[in-house]
Parts: sequence; C-alpha cells; structure tokens
Amino acid sequence: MMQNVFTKTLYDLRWTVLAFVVGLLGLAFFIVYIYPSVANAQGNMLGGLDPEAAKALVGNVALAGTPEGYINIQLISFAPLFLAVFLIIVTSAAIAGEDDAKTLGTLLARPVPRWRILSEKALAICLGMLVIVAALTAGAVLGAWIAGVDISLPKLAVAVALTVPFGIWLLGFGLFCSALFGSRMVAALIATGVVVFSYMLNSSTEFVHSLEQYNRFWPFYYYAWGQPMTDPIKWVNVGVLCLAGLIFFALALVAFHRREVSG
Amino acid sequence: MGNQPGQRIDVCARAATRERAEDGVATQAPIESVLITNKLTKNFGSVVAVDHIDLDIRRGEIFGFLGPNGAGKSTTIRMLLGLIRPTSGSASIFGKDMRKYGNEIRRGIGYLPGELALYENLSARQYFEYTAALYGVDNIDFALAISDRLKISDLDASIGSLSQGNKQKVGIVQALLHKPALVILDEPTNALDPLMRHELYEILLLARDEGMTVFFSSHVLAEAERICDRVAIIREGQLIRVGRVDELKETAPKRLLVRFAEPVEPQSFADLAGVTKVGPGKDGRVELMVRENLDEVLRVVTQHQIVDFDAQDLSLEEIFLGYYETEGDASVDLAEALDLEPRELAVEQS
Repeated sequence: MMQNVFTKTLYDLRWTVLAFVVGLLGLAFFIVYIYPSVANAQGNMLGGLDPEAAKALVGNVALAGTPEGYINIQLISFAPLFLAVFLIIVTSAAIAGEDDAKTLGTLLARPVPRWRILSEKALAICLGMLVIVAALTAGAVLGAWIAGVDISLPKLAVAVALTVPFGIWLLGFGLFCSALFGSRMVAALIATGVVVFSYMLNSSTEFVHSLEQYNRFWPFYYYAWGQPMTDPIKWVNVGVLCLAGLIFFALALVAFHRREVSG
Repeated sequence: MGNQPGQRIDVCARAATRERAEDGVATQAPIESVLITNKLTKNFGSVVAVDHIDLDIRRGEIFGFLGPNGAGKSTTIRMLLGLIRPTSGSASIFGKDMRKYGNEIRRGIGYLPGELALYENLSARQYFEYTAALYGVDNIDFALAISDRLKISDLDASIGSLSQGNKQKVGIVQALLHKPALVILDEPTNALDPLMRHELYEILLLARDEGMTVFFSSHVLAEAERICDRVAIIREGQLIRVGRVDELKETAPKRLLVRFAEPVEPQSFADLAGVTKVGPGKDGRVELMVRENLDEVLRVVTQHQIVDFDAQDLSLEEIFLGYYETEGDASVDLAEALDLEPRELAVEQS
C-alpha cells in the first residue's frame, strides 16, 4: 500500500483531508443554500455602507446586493483562509514536524534523495488541497442549485476553485518555512503571520490607499476575490501566484538539501 | 602510542586508503575496508563535538564504538549517514565518498538511531512494508522472521500502542530487513530486556557470519566485550583507542590481590619494574596492578607468607573507565599501562 513517500504522505493526510472535506463542503453548501432567506438583509446591510467599505467587503462593488456579493462576502473571501489552515498544518508537519518527531533522521537514512522526498510530499499535499477545494466548490454549487440561487453555476465553481493558485503559493511558502526552520511551531507561526498580514494589508488598502504600493508584494493582492463571477479571469494574477509558489518550492528544495537533522 | 587529534591510530588497517579518500578518489579503496573516516570533524559553534576522527571498519566485523552519552558517538554516526555535514574531514563507505554517493551508499546501510522514533500511526507490518519499498526490496518475509525471533508482540497493532521494548525491536528489524552490507546501530540494546539483548547478540553474530558488517555504538561495555571484534573508545569527541577487544585486555595490566599473614607495607612493591599501581585492597589485601615482569613481581611477593592470592584480568569496562576517570591514581596508572603518552595523560587528566 505505501510504496513511496507520496503514498505514505497521502495515508497520513487522509483523516485531515476528510475532516476538511466534510467541514467545508457542509459549510459552503449551508452558506449558499440559505441565501434566498437572507438576501434582503444582505442587500440592506451593503446599501447602508460607504462604497469604499462595501468594496472592501465584496471586492467588486458591482456585486453588492446580489447573490455574487453575498457569496463573495460569506464564502469566497474566507475560502483562502480555510485553505490556509489546512496547508499550514500539513506543510509545517512535512519537514519540521518530522524533525520534531525525530522520524526525519530515519527517513533520510533511506536511499531516497531529499529532493524526491520533498517533491513527493508536496505532490501529496497538493492532491489533498485539490480534493478540499473540489469539496468547497461542490458544496457551493450544490447549495446554489438546490436553493435555486440565480447565479451562473460554472462561474461560481470557477470563482471558488480560484483559491487553488493561492493554495499553490502557500504550499510552496509553507514547505519553504518547514524546510528552513528547526521546529514545526516556528514554521507554522511564520507562515501564519505572513498569511494574516497579507490578508489584513489587502483589506486595509481599500481604506488606506498609501498601502497599495506595498500590497503588490503580498499574495492576497493577486487573489481573485470572486471576480470570475462577473469579470474575466486575470490569468496574470493566477500565473504570479503559481510562479511564486514554484519559486518558494525551489527555495524549499535548497533549504531541505542543506538542512542538518537535529539530534 | 598516544593519539593527538588527527593522528593515525590503527595504522595497519588504514593502509593507503586514507589519502585516496581524502582526494575524493575513494572508489579505489581496498575492498576490505567498508567504512573509512579521515579526520572527520564536527563543530557546533564553538563546541567541538567530533574531533578529527579516523576510523577503519573492515568487512564482516562487529565494531564497537564506545563512549558515554555526549562523547560524540551519535554525531559521528549522523555524519556517516549524511544527516549532518562534517565541518572538515571526510567519510567513505563501500569505497565511495559519502557526500558524493550518499544515496547509493545508503542503499547498503541499515540504521537504527539512538533516539528511536517511528511512525506511531503505522503498524509494525506497515512500517516494514514501507521501509522495504524505500529500499526497493521485497523482504517482508525476512522482516517477519526477525520479528518472530525477537518476539514482537503484535505486528498489526499501531506502533504507538507498543511498549518501548517492542518499539526498539521494530527499530532493529527495520535496520536489518533489506539485508544491508553495513548496519549502523546506535545504542541498539536500549529498552531491551536481558533475554532480548541475548537474542539481538545472536542475530548480530549470525549476520556477521554471513558477511554483514556491524557498527555498533554503546555505553554498555559488557555487550561490546561479548560480541565486538574490535572497539574504538571515544572521549569528548576524540578517539583515544582502537583495537581488538582481546588486545586491549592483553595490554591492560593484571590485578593481583594478595592477603599476607603478616602486615606488609604496600609501598614496598611500588618500585618493582612493571608494577603500575599499589595500594590497600578490600579485606586487608594488597592490590597491585602489574603490566609486565610478572615473574619477578611474584617472586618478591612470595617472599612473604601468603594467606590468599587472586590474579584478575581487567574487564573491558575497567579498561574503559581508565580512560574516563579524571581523578585518582588508578586511572593514571591504567592509562599509562595502556601505552598512552604522558602528554595525552595530561590532557585526559585536565
């Protein structure tokens, strides 16, 4: 059954992935399914807000008071954070966690190159992430379909699925932290700090425009924020996130190659 | 002779291979040497954990690497496996440089870490299957045979639920299951009861007879004395002695315990050639450490009326302790008897 690091990592991830799949599928379904019941309240709330504040909430003011706006606020703006929780847990465990648990030395004593160990772990985590995003997407689409929400289901699916490029960035960055830092706690804290800071920075730029010049260096600047539901996809942003993820993964390979296993 | 850092200890075994390994042309090393280190050194900041260690492990021997906790045994082993990089020096295994051919070399090595940690969510059987797959072998039957011999309680229970002793057995099996040419065991008898220790010794002796080389670190001298062909003693990161167990014991002094009928001043024997230590022993006996000239010493001793007499070889443990005790005349004399230079003695005494 476990023939390599990839299958072993999948085996280790199975319960975590299952928990996120069940939780996020249910959550996405519930959020979208209750839209018809809360539609008026949502519209009234956004209508009373300053346009800048509404933009900060829904990303695109054109969405305010619409199913797209509701789904954007309630689901899509939080979706990368849900995904971040999963990715930070599993990437920090991948290398730093194994070192903490003292199993890394035994693993590295096997005749498997370090680059291959890290690549197989990354591939397994990526697969787990895709399954979770698929569940999130399925929950949202299913909720909209059953509740009869007036929205393009394919566009909704694409909007939710565009958490994947962000996930690829965090997969690379998380593995880099895990390979670089000595303990899982430190690796997780650094990754969490960067995600939270970037999220807050991106939200703040709607109110503090002077921060915009810094925002472009952080990942949430490139996150789609539900845009595909109304506008064409910005493939450049998708590419930037994926490329940054790959660069961090390459840095993770270097850090892991140079890593000394703790006593 | 005394061994300064980097000085060669086991000259006969080292031959011309050292220079070849040093030049990175270790592939041409003689086949007899399975593992060679050349001035292997590891510093952690200002702390010198391993200091210019030269080792030469030969095919088919059980080599004991002896020293107390913190002496540098595990650090040396981790360098040999490529888990940490040496600060300087090199290691070659199977005639190949470890840093260049790490993965190829690791295919032929079995490893049991001193601080054993296993994947506790797996069963022992799953762990063996996974380990075998990473080595690219299908040796589950062999693993199960060793498990049976070591009496691992339940191969299908999660490792996390096993006792520490059973976990250690799982660790031993995973180190041996791919029938490695070299097995590196860091404190392998930790957590094993006496019966299982005996079983492990039997397995290692059998493995050696089949041509496997065993590199075995321990601070339990009795087990090294029992199964090792040669031992190295490491102290504060430096090798202070390498040799066959019987050689170490032969070159160590004999202990004579004599009870005389009348009181005899022990110091009256102190000037005899070959006597390295004299003093009062237990129960009114006189204790003499004699390295050579035993015939003459006995002639002088028997000039007195003797009530009781006993001659003892020192155990490996006593020899070992001779290198580690930093206070007391016994260690000094014992070290002198073991051919250490005065300069090295001074270092040890400091």
